[in-house]
Amino acid sequence: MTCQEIQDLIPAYVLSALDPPDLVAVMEHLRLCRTCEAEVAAYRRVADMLPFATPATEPPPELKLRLMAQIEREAAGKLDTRGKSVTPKVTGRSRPGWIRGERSVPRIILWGAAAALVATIALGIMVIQLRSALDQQVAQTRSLQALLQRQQQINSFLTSPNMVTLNVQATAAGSQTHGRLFLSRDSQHALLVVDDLPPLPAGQVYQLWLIRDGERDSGGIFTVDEQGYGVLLVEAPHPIRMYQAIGVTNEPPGGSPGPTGTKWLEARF
Amino acid sequence: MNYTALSDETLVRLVATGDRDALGTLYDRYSRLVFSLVVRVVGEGMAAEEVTQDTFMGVWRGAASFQPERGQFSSWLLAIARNRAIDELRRGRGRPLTDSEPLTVATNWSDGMSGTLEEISLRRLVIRRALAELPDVQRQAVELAYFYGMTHHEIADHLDEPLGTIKTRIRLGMQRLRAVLQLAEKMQALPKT
Repeated sequence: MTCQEIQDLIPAYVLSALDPPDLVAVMEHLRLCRTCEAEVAAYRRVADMLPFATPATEPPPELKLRLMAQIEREAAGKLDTRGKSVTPKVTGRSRPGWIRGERSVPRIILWGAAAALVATIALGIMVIQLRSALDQQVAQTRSLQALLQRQQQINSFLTSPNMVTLNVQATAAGSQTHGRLFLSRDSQHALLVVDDLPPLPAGQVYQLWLIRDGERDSGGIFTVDEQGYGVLLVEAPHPIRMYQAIGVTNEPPGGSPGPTGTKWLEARF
Repeated sequence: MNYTALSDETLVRLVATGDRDALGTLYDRYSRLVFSLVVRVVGEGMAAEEVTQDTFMGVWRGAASFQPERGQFSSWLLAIARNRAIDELRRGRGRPLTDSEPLTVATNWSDGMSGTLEEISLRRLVIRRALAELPDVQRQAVELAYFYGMTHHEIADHLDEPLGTIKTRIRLGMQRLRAVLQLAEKMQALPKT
């Protein structure tokens, strides 16, 4: 087959949709052809995006507990196996009297008391551990519920038919910067994507402000990577339609109650 | 240690040393995406939960074999999830899986932001818009291949269409998706390569 014929099959190849004769032909060709290999890499990036098209579905909270329990079991299994070889064997000489059948009543009482004490301590430890595990599960469930609610709001924003894209303008301070804001006026969410925004010194973050009748609400903080690329999911206290503009400033860690730093980006709705 | 601040690659390295908290963090980061993909393939119910659990057990057992230079963790994870989900689907259909794809796939995504809710949300937005721009028949063919693991012949049989028609639909559909995604990159809506 020619490169062109192979390249026609590569989209199906990355989807694993080729039937055996075509699959063999493509695999043979790819062993020798760097050009077609580059095509495969490009189409794999497309295929890698497809899982992101699925409607977001939250796994049940107990699934993580089941997974971690399975891992604990596997880890414990390995420890047991290792432990067996070093567990000392109990010889007849070292066995306590009640096992050897000696009729020493005080010794039996002593052993019984010791066993009861050990059992009580073990039970106490178990209760504490269970209570701690329960508290952890309750906290985890609450945190997952909050996350689920947030994800549902984001989904509703992402699937909004009224989504618009707005170019975000750089101020003089950020003249090389490009930015885009995806927003739906009825939603309290928007997505800011910026490029070539200078990385800030350690201890500084960017903060987005939503401007409404001169008042400023924080829309969230973000950082950028070495190339100046950053993404912020904006979470506004009110629907976006109530605001007239946005601005982005640099602020101390955790953000500020109101803008204090240099203004880098702005956009009017 | 603040695990949530660690990159995927660092977390996988920790998982390979037996660090359970690192796996828990990767689960928190990706379980929704994995579960969504699995549900899309096998439907809701216990099977989806088992495949998701099995996928993360695969990460736990196979973390040492992950090679960051060959691709991003999320691609590796989603390839495991997809293969296992399709395997489950085919078992349900009584059909054996012919696994012709390597689990680790090449990709050039920037690693800086991978796994954050923002990054995932952005990708969702872009790919949904790209799919929405495809003609229905092309989208259907691509989805049957990706989410149901069907080959050209199987899709042709399933839709009762000529084989050549299906080949063309997949090729054109993927070409168009590629063009739209490249455009999104140029418009700075996706991470740079």
